Amino acid sequence: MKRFKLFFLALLLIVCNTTFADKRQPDPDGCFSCHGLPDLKYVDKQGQIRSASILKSDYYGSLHGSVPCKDCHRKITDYPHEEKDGLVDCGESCHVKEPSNGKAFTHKDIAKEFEKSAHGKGLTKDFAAGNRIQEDKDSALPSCRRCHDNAPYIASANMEAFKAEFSHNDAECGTCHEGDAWRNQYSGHILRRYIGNHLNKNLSNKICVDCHGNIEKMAKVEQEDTQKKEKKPVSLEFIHSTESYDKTLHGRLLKDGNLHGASCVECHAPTGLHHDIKRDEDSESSVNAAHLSQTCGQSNCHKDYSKSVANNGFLNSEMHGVATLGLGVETKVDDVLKPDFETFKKLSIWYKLAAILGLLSILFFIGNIAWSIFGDASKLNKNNNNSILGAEKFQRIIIGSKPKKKESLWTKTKKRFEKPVVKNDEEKL
Amino acid sequence: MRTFILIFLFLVKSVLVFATEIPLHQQQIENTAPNQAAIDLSAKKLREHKDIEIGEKLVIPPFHKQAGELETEPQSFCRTCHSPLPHTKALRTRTFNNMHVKFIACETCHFENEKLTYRWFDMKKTQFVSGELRIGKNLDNENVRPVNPKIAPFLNDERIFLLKSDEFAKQIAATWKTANNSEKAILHAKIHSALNWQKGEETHQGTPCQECHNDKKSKLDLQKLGANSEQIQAIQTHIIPRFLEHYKNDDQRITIREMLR
Repeated sequence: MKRFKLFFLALLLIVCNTTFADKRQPDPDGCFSCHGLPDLKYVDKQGQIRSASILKSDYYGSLHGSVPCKDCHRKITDYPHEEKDGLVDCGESCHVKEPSNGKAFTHKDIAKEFEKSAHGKGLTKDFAAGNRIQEDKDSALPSCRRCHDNAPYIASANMEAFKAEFSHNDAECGTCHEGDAWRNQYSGHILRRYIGNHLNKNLSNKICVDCHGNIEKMAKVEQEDTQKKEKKPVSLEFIHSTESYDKTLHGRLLKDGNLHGASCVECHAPTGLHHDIKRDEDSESSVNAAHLSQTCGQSNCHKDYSKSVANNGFLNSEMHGVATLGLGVETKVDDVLKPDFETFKKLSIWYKLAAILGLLSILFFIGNIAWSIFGDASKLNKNNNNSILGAEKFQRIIIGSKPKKKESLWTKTKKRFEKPVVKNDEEKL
Repeated sequence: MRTFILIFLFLVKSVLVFATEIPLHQQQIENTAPNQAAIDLSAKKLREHKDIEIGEKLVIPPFHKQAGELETEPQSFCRTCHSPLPHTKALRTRTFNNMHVKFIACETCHFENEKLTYRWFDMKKTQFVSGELRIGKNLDNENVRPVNPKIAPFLNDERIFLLKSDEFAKQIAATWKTANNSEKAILHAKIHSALNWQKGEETHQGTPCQECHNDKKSKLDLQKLGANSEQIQAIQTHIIPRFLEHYKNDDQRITIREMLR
């Protein structure tokens, strides 16, 4: 009996250890002793209001709520903190383990993908609250923090709806997943996956629009010419990309709350970790002409349709054309009027067919007019169906009679204007 | 005769009320004659002062969500010149001191007088109120504190501090606008010397944290201010003032582990 008791105690100890070992410890270093206080603010030398208060409830309900402060602000050991000790590198790994494989969680792969993208010159590390103003002044490039903040799992606007929807959560999930330890560690992760579309298409687009929607700012952007390796101003299409997007069916669907419209990222970074945005000239870009059928033909999008050769023209639809914006219209008209074979090649197959049929129609029309003037109209009168195709030959060879010579419209018209022949007096009488 | 006595009593009361209604700070400003050292110090401070204009919100948002607005309708006389986050220089304590600005009147820390009592006072309505101490285990810093009620100093239930709406405060503000540099230095010295008038100090260093955050003889009667026993203990034995006590000089940096011991 005594042995059984000892065994039972040992077992209990192991179970408890396992449970408590997994319990979330978001503030093992005691940072919230200070940073949990309200209104810890000051104005720095640049006139920027700096806040050292971290909202507890917001932080714990955020995407980084399980991450201890020192996982990001690694070198801070003393107070007052030095800025260099608190610099954040988003590509570092942290102590949170990815539940599916048990490995340390990291944004390293995202940072790598981002660095190879068109935005890749933006920062992925050396972030401190104090150098925000410097980055703001020095660079317009996107960095991790320019696009992302420490967003809550559930957006505050959706919180009430979420509470109503999940009022049964505790009872239902708790049926199997008993114990706070499990829920503390995984419920956030599961909620994130379950709610899934926290960063829905409209919110994701907003991140892009925050910069690309600033026309004045975009007009100052310069891109490197891929061949000449020189800086060149960006196109009108680039500058007004968000305005033109709003005119497309994609943009209009999303604006109306219909999520069938494609978001920016769905076309520009559909694969990988969705940070691989490249310029359309780049052969690896998802919006490069060579990859459009694949990009537009993603599942749930224009699957099959865009991959058919007959629909190649569809892929050349202008997604960011400025013609509808009333900008650069003259240029566009000039372009269309130029007999440019390269432009013609890019046109949809429907346009190509229309062009050929149009040419033929013009030929027929001109021929018709010419024939009606110079041809033999009598043939038309007598035998509308086959006068041209051989009625005369048939009459001459098979029937053996000589067809009456028809007068052309020109001959008839000429006759009308000729002076009548004056007969002699005898005949008059 | 009875009417005469009543009128006499009324006049006496009016005179007394008028006399006591002048805030002590005003009386001291009027009566203080700052010495040359104080004027020189004021002149130096004014020369070195650089106006810091609070910038607009940056395009790059703060990574961690922030909350709490700054005072938009300041009533305190000090706010005629000082910014809503007035503590800027002391690297170690500026944020902690600024945190107190929302619920502690400037004169509570910067006006020295042992006879003063401290009460919750609504600066906007200019009346005593029952304030709210927010401290304890379940403090959630997301709840924004109302800014008008503050713990402020009183002498015999009369406020000793000036408000922007006081005539005297308005006169000073008007004088400042037209004063030249040497006149400003004298005025600056008068206003600030009056804060520490009992000590006769030239500067106006605030009360050290330990004067309130101690469990022996706190400057504030926390019980009267509405704190329960748990809150009193939390304020008096707070870990931050105890940690800050370890510092011997301004340049010192101490490891956080020290604080957690």
